Amino acid sequence: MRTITTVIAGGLALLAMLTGCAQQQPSPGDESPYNGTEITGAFTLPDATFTTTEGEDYNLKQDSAGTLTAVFFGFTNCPDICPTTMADISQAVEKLSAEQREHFQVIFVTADPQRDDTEVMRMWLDSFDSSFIGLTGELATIDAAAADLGVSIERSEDRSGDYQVGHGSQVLLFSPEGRSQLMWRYGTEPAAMTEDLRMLLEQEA
Amino acid sequence: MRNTTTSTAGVRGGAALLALALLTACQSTSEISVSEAVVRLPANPDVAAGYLTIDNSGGAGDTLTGVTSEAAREVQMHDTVHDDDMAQMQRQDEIAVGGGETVRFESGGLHLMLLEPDELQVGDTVPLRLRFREAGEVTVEATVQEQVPGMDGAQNMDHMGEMGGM
Repeated sequence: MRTITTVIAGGLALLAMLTGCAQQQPSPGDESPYNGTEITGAFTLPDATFTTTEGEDYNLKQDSAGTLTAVFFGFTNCPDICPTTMADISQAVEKLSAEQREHFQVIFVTADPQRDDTEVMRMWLDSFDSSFIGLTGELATIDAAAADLGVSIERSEDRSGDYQVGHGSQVLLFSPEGRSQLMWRYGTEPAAMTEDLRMLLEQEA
Repeated sequence: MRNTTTSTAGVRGGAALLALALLTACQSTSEISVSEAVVRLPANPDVAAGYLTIDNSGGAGDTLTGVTSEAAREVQMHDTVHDDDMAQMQRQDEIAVGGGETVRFESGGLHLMLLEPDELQVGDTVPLRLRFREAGEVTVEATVQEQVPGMDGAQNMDHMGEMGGM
């Protein structure tokens, strides 16, 4: 089951890559207005319950309903990719108006619940944007949600000392109905994110 | 063996480089300089990322075999390997810096990982001691930068300016 999901995710990633390439050189019939890769309806936020940094239950599907939502899987001991991505998103969010910000939220799901307790995660997220939501949960819940969303996670068997966690570095954007809309690859510029967010938020308005 | 497209100038240049390389090799030195060293303010106090640029202007290659700092328990070298959208960090024991080459540690690729760094503040400097097989130890002072460019602490002034806009 997991293998099949991975293969499908791989195929989607490949498709997304091809689409991404095509976007850079617009051709007739492919005129995506977005900087991110369109993945409309490819994934749906799973009906899975996590714990927020405030210790409350958070159901990824139900509790995000009604709000444009960005989801990223990472871990706070990640020195480069995760903080860079979070910093980029926070810069993108800053450029939105106060009203736009009310209709958009960012969810960080830890891929490393062993080390990322709610306190560490809250402190980590606060250094980027205190409105960012941090979620943790059982390993199985996290991995299943990641697999559902085409995000791969690789954890070493030996998790003692300074272990690293491999994880999908993409940011996924979901409509207020929980359907995937866009994917931002690692390295997407904050300004490009802002443009995409404004367009998506205007559509919803 | 030699590439057929090599021009006369190229050969001459190559010969000069070779001579330089031989000379450098005889002196058993490589010309290493390290610049643009920064450490990013850690968001998780257990780990900070470091970035820098290594230039080897000598003719002979060299190898970075490790980095230490008084300001951290340990400094590791990592490379981020991107496989489709999967980012996986791979620890590196050594980094080759060929003669005439520049190696950049930058976000999304090679980076230093400072484990259990001292309490750092933006603007602080952190000494990084780089050990090279040929050049020996090269110390550089890395400047501590904020996580989010232009952001000092929690919120940016930009925010306020755009509050009423849009």
